[in-house]
Amino acid sequence: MSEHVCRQRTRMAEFGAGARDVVPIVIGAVPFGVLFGALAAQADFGVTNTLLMSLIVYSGTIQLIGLNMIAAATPLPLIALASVIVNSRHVFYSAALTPYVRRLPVWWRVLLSYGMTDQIYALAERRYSARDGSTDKHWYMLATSATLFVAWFASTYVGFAFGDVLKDFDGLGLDFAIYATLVALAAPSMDNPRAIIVGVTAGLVALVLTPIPFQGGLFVAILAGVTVGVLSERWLRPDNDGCEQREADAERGTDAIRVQR
Amino acid sequence: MVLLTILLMGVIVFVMRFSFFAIPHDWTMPKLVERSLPYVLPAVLLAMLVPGVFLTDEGPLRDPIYGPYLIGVVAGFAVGAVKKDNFFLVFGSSVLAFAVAKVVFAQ
Repeated sequence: MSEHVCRQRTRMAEFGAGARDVVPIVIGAVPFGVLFGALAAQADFGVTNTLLMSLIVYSGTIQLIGLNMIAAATPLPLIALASVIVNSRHVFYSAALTPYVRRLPVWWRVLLSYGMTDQIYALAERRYSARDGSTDKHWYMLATSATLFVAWFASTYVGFAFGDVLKDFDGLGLDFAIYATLVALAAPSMDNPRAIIVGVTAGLVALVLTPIPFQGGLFVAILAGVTVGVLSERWLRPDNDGCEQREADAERGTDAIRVQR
Repeated sequence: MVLLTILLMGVIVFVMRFSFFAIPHDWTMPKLVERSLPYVLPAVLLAMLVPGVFLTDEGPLRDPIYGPYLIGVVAGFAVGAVKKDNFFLVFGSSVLAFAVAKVVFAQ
């Protein structure tokens, strides 16, 4: 079998795995998309603007916040400031995935960053961390983000068109699918004291800072968790001989020497 | 004006997501930033999870606090501690525990 055919199969396998793994996230995101569409219809936002918002912005939280601010005739600079605050955490995601994607052509990086929502970042980080030697993991990330985007865009339209009929949709507790997904993504990384300390710190800070508008507390919470993680390298001894980290560094394509988690 | 606002929001979101992706591949990341990267995932996941488990969408604490959301999450982590690499098993266990608890608490 030629190398080209093998490569095509690997890419298809990565794409298929991504489309499969994103299903729980889609289940959780669809009610949110329907809600956004329904609220946009109520606000007389117009179907074109509603769909353009999902197409161009493609970020659930800031879409809802932006919708309310536009409806309230909020000045443009304030909407821009809210967008920066709400999405500032995405800088972390970009930094975390850069070692894996930095050698891809720029159009690939543009494509992947467009679809890099919270959950897509988490799925991609999980896939990239798997040490199986695959060099086509960007196809996995592409499948997750493309699938979620189609679901988000479609659910926005459904919410706009049928929001009144579906107003009790949320009462089923479908929002829990998002939390269950976060648990399933977090569980593999919670296997050492340092990760647990990082997670607990970030979680508690986020809880305390919830009253900060535009989810501004999330950025601070992630920063606090990461800072505690770096500082804890002085307090906690490495729990193996460092092989695991060297493998991860090799996978990222870096020569960095990092202290073992 | 609405279209301009949407465009501006889209540009801001994209710039945030693309920020580090735009850096040339031969650029060396500062050691401190590089050391911090393994901690981003657990920090992000728990920062999004914890408030959602303990607080309602409107803001106040869930009543009771040990309700379906907490039970579902604890069950997921419990299964995850044993079968940590089985994504769908952990997800399914968490959803199942949540659904059962929701039925029990509704009675």
